[in-house]
Amino acid sequence: METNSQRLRGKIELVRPRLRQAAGEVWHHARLAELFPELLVTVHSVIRATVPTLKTAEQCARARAAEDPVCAGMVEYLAAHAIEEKDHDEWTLDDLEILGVKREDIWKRIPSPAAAALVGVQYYWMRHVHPVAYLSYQAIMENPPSPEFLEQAIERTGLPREAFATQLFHGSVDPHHVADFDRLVDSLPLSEWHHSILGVNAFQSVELLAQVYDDLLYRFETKNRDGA
Amino acid sequence: MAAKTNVQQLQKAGIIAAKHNLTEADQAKVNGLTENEVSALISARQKLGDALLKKSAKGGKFPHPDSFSY
Repeated sequence: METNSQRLRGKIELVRPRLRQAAGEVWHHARLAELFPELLVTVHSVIRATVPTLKTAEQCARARAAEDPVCAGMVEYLAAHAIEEKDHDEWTLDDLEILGVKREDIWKRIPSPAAAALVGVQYYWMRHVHPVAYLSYQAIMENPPSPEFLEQAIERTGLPREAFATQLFHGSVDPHHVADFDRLVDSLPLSEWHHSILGVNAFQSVELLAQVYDDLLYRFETKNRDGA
Repeated sequence: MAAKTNVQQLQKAGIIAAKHNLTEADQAKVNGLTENEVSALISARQKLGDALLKKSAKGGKFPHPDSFSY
């Protein structure tokens, strides 16, 4: 019998190759050392919304909890996870400072529309459809990086190890987060309707995240080609 | 006329290229999707067949990150 989390991950796996392809174009880029600061800026443009979206998901779930057992089952987890994720966006800014990118300059940068869309759709689904939708976004985003791959990337780029600190941290702690997440999803009394919402948002979010990578690469290559 | 399977619908929409033979497991997964999920795939213009066949693309011994791992 397939568990809730296995069913969700099975759907994500159907479309993850598109994401892996887009991310691979960035991580395996011949000029990764130059591209990496731009990648971190892009990461920050998305993860600056992590704690706010988790808190919104918690509020939406709490508001329905009395008459909705799925929402009731999510509240505590979301509240605890928002605390765990606190300041991770700040850590990314610390990593960028090591690479010589100033904090104040990052906040002046206009994020890609795909990043805005990726985060924006989460608010739509959880506020106007059902908070359970947020869990597919989380399942996609919380995918621990391989520490071995990161070590190779540090060596390949020659960039300071400290600039990878947040990535390395996630490589070590996210496996625990994934286990906690799966336990939560498996404990929820999900109906076919909930599963369908999870699948729809998973497919949309994977495509939008892939577009975030596509946009990053396009901007980097255009800027270099045009010498801007 | 027999109702179209999800795989057939997605082939017709160009999401799965007709030339691609999905594994039985992937076919079962796709045919188990709801109507709304199939619509979401079509809306996102996911090239599912291509994507599935690129499972091993860009690799090396260790997989690169593909999300922002918050």
